[in-house]
Amino acid sequence: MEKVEITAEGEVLTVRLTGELDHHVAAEIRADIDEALYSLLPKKLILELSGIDFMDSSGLGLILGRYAKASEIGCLLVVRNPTPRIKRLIVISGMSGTIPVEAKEEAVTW
Amino acid sequence: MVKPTNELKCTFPSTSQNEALARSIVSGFLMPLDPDIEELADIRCAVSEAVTNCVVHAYKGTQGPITITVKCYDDRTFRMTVADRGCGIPDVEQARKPLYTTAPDEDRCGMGFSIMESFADRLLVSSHVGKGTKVTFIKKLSEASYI
Repeated sequence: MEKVEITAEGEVLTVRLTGELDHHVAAEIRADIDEALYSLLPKKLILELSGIDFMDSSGLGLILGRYAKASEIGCLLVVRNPTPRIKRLIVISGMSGTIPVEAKEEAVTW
Repeated sequence: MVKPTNELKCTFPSTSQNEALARSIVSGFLMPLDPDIEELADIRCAVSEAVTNCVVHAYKGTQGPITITVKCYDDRTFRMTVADRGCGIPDVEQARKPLYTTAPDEDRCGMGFSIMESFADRLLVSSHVGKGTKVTFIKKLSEASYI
């Protein structure tokens, strides 16, 4: 089951994606992110991907598309905690020099 | 002609919901072979790319049948074809190039064929304009590891 959770803190917009990210779900997720991006105009957009079980090139397209949209409004997109599979796709697609990737421990809440 | 040890053929309509169905079908077919987790993930990604191409490009704005045929052989070779009866690709060589896409406005990054190629031992694409496209993905699975 795919899910998107968007939180804003100061000038940072964090989008936490979970589940399967394919073409079928990408359109809806894209609309949600873009709406938040244009209404909040953040300086940084974080895509937290540690909860993604499956991703294909539709997910890469979603990331690249958001990167371009964010750049247009002076916002930096960062991919956070990509799974090894996602990292591999980013490398295969030659995006590793373009999209900033960071790893950060998330606080665990019980 | 070598006889496959198992085979499956199925046809479903080109709705985007069926991208996940295609992944499940192919996963289910491969499970008895005890595939390596990474290889299984590669193949799940490859079928997703092929089926998405049918939904987004072959039947753009319309709907039609997608037929998946999967076969496995004694030597652990896995062969999958994904066929549509859609618009066809005028220039297959160009379509297979990384970053080439006819739908940049829809966030298509043009990496579908490149990803399938990188996960396959061989990837064959045959297409006829107005008749459809057939993508054949061939990969020899590594030996099963029994604990």
